[in-house]
Amino acid sequence: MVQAVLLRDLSHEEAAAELNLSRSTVTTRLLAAKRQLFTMAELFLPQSQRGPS
Amino acid sequence: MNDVERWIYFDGPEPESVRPLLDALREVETPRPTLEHKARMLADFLEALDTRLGRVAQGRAEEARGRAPAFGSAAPAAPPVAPRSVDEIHALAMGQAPLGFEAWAALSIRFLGARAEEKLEALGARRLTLEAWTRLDDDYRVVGPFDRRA
Repeated sequence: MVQAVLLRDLSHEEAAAELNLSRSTVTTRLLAAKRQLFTMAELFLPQSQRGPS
Repeated sequence: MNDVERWIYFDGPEPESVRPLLDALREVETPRPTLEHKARMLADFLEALDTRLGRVAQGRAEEARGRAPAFGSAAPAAPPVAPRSVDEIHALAMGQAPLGFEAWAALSIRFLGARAEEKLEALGARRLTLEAWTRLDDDYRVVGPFDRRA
């Protein structure tokens, strides 16, 4: 999902067709993936841009 | 609503805070070229170069034919060039051709005015066929002018 939509810039419809899933499943899973990515993203930020731990 | 929420819920632009992670993922996603892939790329490049140089040579030949007086019959078509294998092209690129440049130059001089039997004997001594020699000869003639310009 992340690979198809976020890294390869496919649309939700294109990703759904490629992964053989419904469009709504793609959207729901992508939303969950983005939330997780956001929590992980801080690790990749420079120390100065990280929030208080 | 901030830019992160716009990205998560409405497919908005990637927020700055997430970009380093996504860039890292993209880098992992991009496959690194293998040796075979590099050899194929080199082969494709040389094939394209051959085609281009062939077109230039053909254009010059046609131009020369256009200037030459006509003798009633059309000039014979050039024989088709057999496609090279990846290994062959790789060997040439790595300087591992069956005959080095110096040896080719020496043989070329020796072949000037030589009889066909003498040529075949010299090539046989080097375990080269006439076809392989012709290919090498073509390659070195093409590479030669570029080397001198460099």
